[in-house]
Amino acid sequence: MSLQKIDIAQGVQGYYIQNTRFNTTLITYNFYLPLNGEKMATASLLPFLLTSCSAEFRDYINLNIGLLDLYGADLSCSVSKSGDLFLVKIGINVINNNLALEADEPVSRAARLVSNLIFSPALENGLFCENDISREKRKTIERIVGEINNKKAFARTRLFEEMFGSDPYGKFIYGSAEEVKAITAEQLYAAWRELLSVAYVRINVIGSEYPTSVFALAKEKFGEVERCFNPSILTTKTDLAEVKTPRDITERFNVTQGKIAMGFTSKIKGSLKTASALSLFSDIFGGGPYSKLFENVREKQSLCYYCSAISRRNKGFVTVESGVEEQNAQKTIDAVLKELSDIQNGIFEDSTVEASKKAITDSLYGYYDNATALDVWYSREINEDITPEEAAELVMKVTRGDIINAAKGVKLHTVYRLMPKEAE
Amino acid sequence: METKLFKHSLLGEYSLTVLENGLSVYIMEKPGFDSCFALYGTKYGSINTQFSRNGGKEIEVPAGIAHFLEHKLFESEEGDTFQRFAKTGAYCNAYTSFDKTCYIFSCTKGFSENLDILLDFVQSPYFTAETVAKEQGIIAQEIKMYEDNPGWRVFFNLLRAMYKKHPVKIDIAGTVESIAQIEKGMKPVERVTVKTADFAETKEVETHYTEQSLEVSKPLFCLGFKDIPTTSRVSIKDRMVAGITLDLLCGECSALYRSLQEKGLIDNELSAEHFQGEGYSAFMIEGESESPAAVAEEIKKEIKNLTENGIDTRLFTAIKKAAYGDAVKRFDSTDSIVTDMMDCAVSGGGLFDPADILKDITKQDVIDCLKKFTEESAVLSVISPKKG
Repeated sequence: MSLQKIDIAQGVQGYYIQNTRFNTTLITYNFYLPLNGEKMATASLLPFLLTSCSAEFRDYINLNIGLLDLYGADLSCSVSKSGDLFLVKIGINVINNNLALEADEPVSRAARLVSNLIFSPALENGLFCENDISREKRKTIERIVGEINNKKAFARTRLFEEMFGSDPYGKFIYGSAEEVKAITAEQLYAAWRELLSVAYVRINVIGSEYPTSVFALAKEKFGEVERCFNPSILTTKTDLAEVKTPRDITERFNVTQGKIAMGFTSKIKGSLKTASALSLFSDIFGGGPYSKLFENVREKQSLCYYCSAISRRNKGFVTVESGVEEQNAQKTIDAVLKELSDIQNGIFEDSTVEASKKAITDSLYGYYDNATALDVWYSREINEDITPEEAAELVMKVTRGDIINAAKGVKLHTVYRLMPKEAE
Repeated sequence: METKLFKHSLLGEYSLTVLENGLSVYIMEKPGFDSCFALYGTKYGSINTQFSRNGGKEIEVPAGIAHFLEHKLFESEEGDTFQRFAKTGAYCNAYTSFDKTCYIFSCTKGFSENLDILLDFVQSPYFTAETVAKEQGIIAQEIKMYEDNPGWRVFFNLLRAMYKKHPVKIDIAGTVESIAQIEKGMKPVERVTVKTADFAETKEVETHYTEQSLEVSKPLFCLGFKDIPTTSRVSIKDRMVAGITLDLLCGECSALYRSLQEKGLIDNELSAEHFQGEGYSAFMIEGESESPAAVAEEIKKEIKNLTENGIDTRLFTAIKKAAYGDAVKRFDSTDSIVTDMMDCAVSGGGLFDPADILKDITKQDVIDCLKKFTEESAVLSVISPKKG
């Protein structure tokens, strides 16, 4: 496996991750823009609009038939937050040419299709078509109001909103239903032009053959765009301040089981190179089945089915989530804080550290067997090129003292409880 | 002991060895891959609730016991199995379905050592009153988590409405009450005979409509058509025909999907599944709509239309081409490969069959499949928003 990088245009790079073990080629366009609360709803709607039709495929049925004809190529579209950046990912995964039933070159056709979706949308009088906008607005509003259907995700969304306040990181990525309804065709067009001209763009290709045609096509298309990318947008700027008294919020819904989402600030943040100790800390805290939360809160105290911790190092915070009976909620929160305190005081076994290091490194070495995971890897670490092996080496170098130090920088900021109504 | 080798010019090769004790061992080498994936599974799931112990009298065990056992096997006299895997760095997990229990691990190093742990812990049950009680608490929370999951509830409510006798109607994890009945001192016995599921099901359903209210933003629905398989297991060809039929009927390229969108009945995609296993088979279509009954009527109308007027050749060809692509893509994932091996062991067929059988599937096969989607076999399950 090797990585080759090429410059395609100002702030546009092609990453070819050679991997001969797959039957497929994955191509993703990754656009990075600064997080902007006011523009977030529009920026989130746009990629779904772009991937629903194009000048070539005027409606989604024709587009889907085009994808079936590409041996069921998987077209994907997502929006996410990475630190203070907003990431739009549009990708396609298609079977390799040598596996095609006829000589119809699925890889280059897939590259053309995804490029046309991004650069040649279906426009009417120079703007996106109202019918298409209305359809995608309805779908997005469904996503927004449907968030409550998944209580675990909903509790997390509410925690972020409460933790981050006016920082756009805390905002629900699709915005509110009212914001979506108010989006205009002009705003969407402006957002599209901004995506093409201002964003840092990384095109990842994971496949067995060097993607000459994919990168040539991107060069041609970006050659038609006036680029004005400013590299300063790529560095995280805002920090979440520690609080003296953590907030504790309870909201009630028609549910059987309560959910707890706890947010902690972290002194350590940033890239893998600077924050490996935080990753290892959160894994020991509530990662694998060897973790403190699994062993003590689930297995010993039998309080819940899941209780897990995740570090979100790009923004510098840690979350813990659990599903519990209301009468056990405080007991669970206290148990979580006790485990954190134990790690801060060095009360954890060396064998747990070893188990965590082995599990994390095993998982990192497995990245090469999963094209989607590799793509995520090479779209997450945008400020430094680091391979999964190098990350594994960094993890192995983390000491017991580093873990304690990382834990000491972790402080409770907000507790969000989603609880049953009947218990009121 | 006999080993059979299966080769495909594009997709690789694998072997199947049936050991003298009856265990089927599938092995596929994936050149270039760093990780290994192993699955140890058995044809024992939530539908198997009746046993004959040591050849004696038949007994019925509480619902959810297969899933409970899946959890409990992770413990041994020496301690927790997770601790043993923690020393190797392997990822390990397990799942219980209606007709299978499977234990899995994946690792990039130490495959033999991990395989030894897997074989050992699955075959060395160890239960104490204390650990059984502990597990009852954990699984009770797992059950309650699913009680709030509308996608899960709409599906299980459908099964309950669809089946009169078949134990597939019982929740995989059982209920908080049923798992509370599990004896604290449950002990392994030498040999049990698992009674196979009661196949005395007819096309007749318990009820054609079921509804539950939960905290959801919009009604969810699942429309199912009950099919009675002619053999205990649906053949691989029939499973593939079912998949193509559902894509043609309500996939994102279907006339139905467009029509439902234009009529404002749905905003997002419908998802469809051919649900099948030992003695059961059903075609299911799920989605969200303010008017589930109207969507169900539109689906039934389209079934009638396709059955009477035939299906679009261009779309049929394109869907088959995509099905070939999907079959090829599964070989990119060691996880998918072992899952498919288990399906082959349980349901018959070979790993390469999906890629090879497609060319034999005709439009008439699809029409014949659609004829199974009858009014009398239909059940509509709805989750409606809870008020207040």
